[in-house]
Amino acid sequence: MRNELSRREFVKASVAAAAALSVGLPLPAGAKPGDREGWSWDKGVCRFCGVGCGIQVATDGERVVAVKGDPENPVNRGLLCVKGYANAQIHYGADRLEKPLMRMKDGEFHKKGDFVPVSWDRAFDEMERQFKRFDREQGPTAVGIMGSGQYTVQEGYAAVKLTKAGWRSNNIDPNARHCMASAVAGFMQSFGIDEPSGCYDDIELTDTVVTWGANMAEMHPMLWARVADRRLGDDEYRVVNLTTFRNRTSDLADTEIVIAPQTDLAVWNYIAREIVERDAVDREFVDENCVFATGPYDIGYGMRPTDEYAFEAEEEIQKREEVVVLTRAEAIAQRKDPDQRHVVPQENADSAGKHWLISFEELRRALEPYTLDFVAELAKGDPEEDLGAFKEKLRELADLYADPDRKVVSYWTMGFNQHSRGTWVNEQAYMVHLLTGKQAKPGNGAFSLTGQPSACGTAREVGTFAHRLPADMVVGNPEHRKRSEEIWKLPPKTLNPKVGSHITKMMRDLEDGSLRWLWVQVTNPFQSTANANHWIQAAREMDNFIVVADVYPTLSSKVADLILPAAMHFEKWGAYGNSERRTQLWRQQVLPPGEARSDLWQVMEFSKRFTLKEVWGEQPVPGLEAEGFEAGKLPSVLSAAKTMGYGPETSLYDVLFATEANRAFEWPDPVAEGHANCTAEAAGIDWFPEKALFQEYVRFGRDHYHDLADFDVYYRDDVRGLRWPVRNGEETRWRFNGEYDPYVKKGAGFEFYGPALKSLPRGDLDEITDPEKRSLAGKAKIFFRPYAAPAESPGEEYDLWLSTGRVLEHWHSGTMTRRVPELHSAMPTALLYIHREDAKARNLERGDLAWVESRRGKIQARVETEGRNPVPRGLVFVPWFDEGVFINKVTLDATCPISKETDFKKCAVRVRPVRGSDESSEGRRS
Amino acid sequence: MRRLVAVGTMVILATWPATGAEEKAKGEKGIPPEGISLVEGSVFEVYTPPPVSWNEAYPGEAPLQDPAHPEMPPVIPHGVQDFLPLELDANFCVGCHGIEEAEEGDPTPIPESHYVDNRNAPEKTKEEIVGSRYYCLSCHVAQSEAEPLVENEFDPVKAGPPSEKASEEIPWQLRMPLACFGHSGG
Repeated sequence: MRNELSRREFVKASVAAAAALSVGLPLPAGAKPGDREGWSWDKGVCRFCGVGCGIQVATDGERVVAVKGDPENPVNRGLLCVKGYANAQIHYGADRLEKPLMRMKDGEFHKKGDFVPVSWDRAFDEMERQFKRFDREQGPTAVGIMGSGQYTVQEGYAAVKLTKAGWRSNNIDPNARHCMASAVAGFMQSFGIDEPSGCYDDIELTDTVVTWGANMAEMHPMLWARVADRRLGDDEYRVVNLTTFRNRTSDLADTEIVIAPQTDLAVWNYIAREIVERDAVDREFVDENCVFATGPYDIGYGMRPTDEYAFEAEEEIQKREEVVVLTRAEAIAQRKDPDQRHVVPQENADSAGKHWLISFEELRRALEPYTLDFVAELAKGDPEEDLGAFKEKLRELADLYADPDRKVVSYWTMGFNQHSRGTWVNEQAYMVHLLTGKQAKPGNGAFSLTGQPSACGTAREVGTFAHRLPADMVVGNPEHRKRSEEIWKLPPKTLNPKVGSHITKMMRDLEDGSLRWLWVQVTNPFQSTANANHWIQAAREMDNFIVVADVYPTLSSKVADLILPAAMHFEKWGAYGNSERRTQLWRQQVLPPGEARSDLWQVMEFSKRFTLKEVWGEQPVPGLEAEGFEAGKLPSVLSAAKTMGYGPETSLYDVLFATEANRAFEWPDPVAEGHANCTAEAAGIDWFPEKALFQEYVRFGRDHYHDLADFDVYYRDDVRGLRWPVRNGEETRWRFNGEYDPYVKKGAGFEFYGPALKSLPRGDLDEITDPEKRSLAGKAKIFFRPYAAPAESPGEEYDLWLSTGRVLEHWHSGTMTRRVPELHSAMPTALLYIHREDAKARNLERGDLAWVESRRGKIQARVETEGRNPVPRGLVFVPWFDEGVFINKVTLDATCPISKETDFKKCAVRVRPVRGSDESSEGRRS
Repeated sequence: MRRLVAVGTMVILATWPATGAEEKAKGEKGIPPEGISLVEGSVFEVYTPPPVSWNEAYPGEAPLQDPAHPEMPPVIPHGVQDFLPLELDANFCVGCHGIEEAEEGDPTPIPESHYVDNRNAPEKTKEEIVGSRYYCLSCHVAQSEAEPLVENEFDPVKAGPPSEKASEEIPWQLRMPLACFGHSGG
């Protein structure tokens, strides 16, 4: 047996000796890998995260053969992370779906049948039959689409148009709800418009980077490369990693601050308090550009208001949706007597987003309890860390923000967004950046990093959310519906004014029977939605019909009734929009395998199955209440349609997609330079759907703060994406800043021109005192938001925090990356990261098999006490990419009540060893 | 790489009616839902993950693995735990691999590309590895003994037109992982 300690010492000694010899030596003359003969290269964009790295993709005939970083692309300048280099391999997993598969018995569809290959016609026949059955019984709210932040812009646009304009259902919501809905709500409430003010250039221009719940080193590696480059080249540059457990981002950070889950809310208020107390407020910036606001605290946790469907063990937590007894820390943080018991009914659970103006003095009063002593004691996340040392770190962090000579960028990802107070914590970041005037300036800003390649470009900007229309418009606003109806050439009142179900609610709707027909596109929701035992049960045991379109069979396809084979990234034309508002388009490079078809073709083709009289007549919509609409129903728009030239037998395909304007975009098109188009070819059409729909979509955003360039511009050799708004051919790097943003009024230094939620009543910290609404055009809001306890915390029975998350090698649910041998080998299974002492106390050692169990479900995982995530005592981390280690059976489906984004980072679990007898007695239904 | 085809699957597929007529046929055997995707079994069951056997070879002990395509960064052929974490003032990877040229048995030298700062000075070769390449683990990953869950048919050398692939007439089910077939559901 090897002696680990002496080996390590030996290695370190010899490596150090070798390093001493090699530093500064001249360069190796290594051979550079060259192109193979016959390969042709084209520009593209990475399939994975929201960074949006530019890639060069090589094809040899009809095969993708290599990818490399695009040196011309300013995002990544020729570098890629290990996943980026796998963009070729992800097309070639041997189990690519090549034919529709339907559950059948005796030649007919059967919910309990096995999967049998069928033709596309047969697949669509069954989808149509089931759709119409449920639509007839319950109306358009019985059907829905779960979409994606991985949709191309055109796919998302087509899906939202079919759902909202065609079926008149607002039940379309993306997996992006799970990753950045809190960022959206934070943007809308603070700025009145979605998407960040800054851009990635800030990394080079700032001198301070603070990561809050963002493990950039693993999740946004090529942005992290830019941070590392700056840090290594500048001794004054500072990097602080604020996190609930040590991760790789700490490796290159100057300071690591390990906080207890949920206490980021308190830390921000401590920093703001310091800024106010030290008089570090940028008065001029704040007076000219900002107002102060707050909202109710009693907003619940986004859980179901009823425990009718709760497992018995869940009821205790479920009840917190109605009444909360404040913890001592909450009482202090909310200016209440901590020695009293405060029983708080959650009266604003349905009006969580309401807010009103307050004064600066009220803000100061609200921040008063957030002293260093109070916050440090609450927030210290590592029991082994000395409180004094922790306080010192918090003070240094406040120093960085308060220093008027220091530029600061704050980055966050899922640690903030997947948070039961996700909207609040986003707003708190803007609070500090606005107070110090460090927002919307080169090198200064608070910035939400996105998880998916087009969560921004498609999910958000196209508006594939249950409440949205393109270009930040919402279904609840009559003006927005009118504008959309005009662009889409729909009769007035076609669009449904009632917000549809968000993605987690769609799962709940399946369980209570209000959603019966579901089409899952470009996502894996049965793996990615928290508290999964409920949803897989509902999908398999109830009378409903679930369609899953994907490139590979996934966990979600296992619970599907019908599986549709989709085209992969470079097998179709597409467009993605990254985190810095950069829109990038690519050409189809190769053909999809077998009968796999693009998602766009699927949507267009299925739309042929509907005539107007089937969808545009009077329709029941339970709960619909809107001005100009009869309660509970959508009116028939068939006669208005007739005057517009649509007959009752006209198909949705002709009204929504094959319009005269769209058919004018001819296929083939010179921009294709010989590349094929699987959508046009499978549809047998001579027009170019991806271009036509893109050009139709851009009409929504032009002159509405979201201007995109024309389709062809993005394909020019000298273009590597453009950051919107693109006005007069110029991209915009810093929005709201008069020097850079063409939308800012001439002469104004800054203008926060976002139009949403810009008329508010006035009040104090507790309530509205003057209901008269005032316009705050051009202003950003500085919110006060208090600390609030999580929905569920560890206690006696479930004694550990569980946080879930990602790893470098696997992107989200692993459906592509786990089919790449190098990535799979590097991280073959999701491990249970646990502190050595916590493991020991449970008779567990590294590599042992453990149960991870909550009130909702349990799974097995292998113990890891070393490796890349040395968690503090009291917290365990389990990544969610592994469909076997199905950790979302364990997680809690509490959401931010404003954004409806699930808090995947906090719930209570217990961990114990798996014993031999467990496999037979407990190893089945969980 | 091994082709993940179970002998048992041949039996099932042999009884599968030809494409086009399948949905009309009665009594045919389909693929049980437990058998698709990367993990065998029903979604209601608890899966037992296999133990992970990390590559703990000492540098130089294990052979280099060919990259999947010429642009792919090589995977790390040895254990890494002794050399981590990479820190601002300690990078053991560069310590060993930052050599001019390699003779047999030497570490793989860091290529010239890593000394060129594409963003700020693309025309110049620096003396030290550029900062954006400093965090080696973003691109180079260590490996374990885990076998692929499913074969990957990516092959830049054998790439050819799709007709070549189609002519093999291998139904996609044949290329499913072992887990796809013969599962008893228990």
